[in-house]
Amino acid sequence: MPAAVTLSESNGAGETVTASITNANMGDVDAVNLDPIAYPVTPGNRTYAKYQRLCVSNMGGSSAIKNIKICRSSALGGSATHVTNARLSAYAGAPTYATPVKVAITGADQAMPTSVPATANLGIGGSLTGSITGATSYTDYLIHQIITNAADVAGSTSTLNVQYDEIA
Amino acid sequence: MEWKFNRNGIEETVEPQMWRWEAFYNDGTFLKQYADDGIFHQIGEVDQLKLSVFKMVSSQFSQVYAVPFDPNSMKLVHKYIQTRMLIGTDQESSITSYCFGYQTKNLRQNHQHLLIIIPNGEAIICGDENIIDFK
Repeated sequence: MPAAVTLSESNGAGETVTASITNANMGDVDAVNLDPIAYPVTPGNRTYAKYQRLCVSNMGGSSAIKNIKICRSSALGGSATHVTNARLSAYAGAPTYATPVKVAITGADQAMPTSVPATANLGIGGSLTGSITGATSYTDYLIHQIITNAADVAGSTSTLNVQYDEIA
Repeated sequence: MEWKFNRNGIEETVEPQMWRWEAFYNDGTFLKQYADDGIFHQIGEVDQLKLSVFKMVSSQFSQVYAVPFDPNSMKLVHKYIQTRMLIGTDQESSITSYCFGYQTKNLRQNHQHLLIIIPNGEAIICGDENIIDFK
């Protein structure tokens, strides 16, 4: 069995952490596992930002998890863009959790890659070269949100993918 | 069969992988990741100073991949490349690729020579693991 790695999400003031989320839908509410049909985004607005982390709950015989690469596959609807703090260089360190908002967030201004990046773009312990060596441990926060365009008429479905190295 | 790993004095059970390494030394001895005595070994336990051949074997595929090793000029590379698609959803899927090979030492640049075993058992020979991009 490889290391047990799941995606967790933080929401609300004071941070409520939900482990092993069942969807990463984005919409007009700060909530985990949200229904985007119930909370559609007004065209031209941003979704509420997501604060998500990979959580290693069991190392499974491995000694390290590192080299975290985040990307999205499938196109967004209309002229929407997808921004994030994940980046290949000039990484700003581990972001601090803040109550998710639907306005621009300092540092979360990079375009989400649409293919696996060549090197790590999400840090561990504030560094792109960091590693997790024991459970229970988290990566840095992945902050991301979608910026819709006023001309957009419908939502879209795309997928969040993660690749990482596991040293066994 | 079960394999045990001792992490900081706590014994853990490690599930088998599709591919596992075996290190053969120049003195005729060897070390297996999943040893015959039920002990799980980490890659850091391989004594690269006397490593002669590094093999990847599988209980599900008949082929064996082997790299002759020269401790004087090579540094061993071995890791799993984990790809998690649709992560955070109930349709999430995982792909484990087994990356192994070596980096050349004593050169101005570190050149990697890697084999990446993909789920169908085939191996891709490359110098850059970033060619792995499942969609």
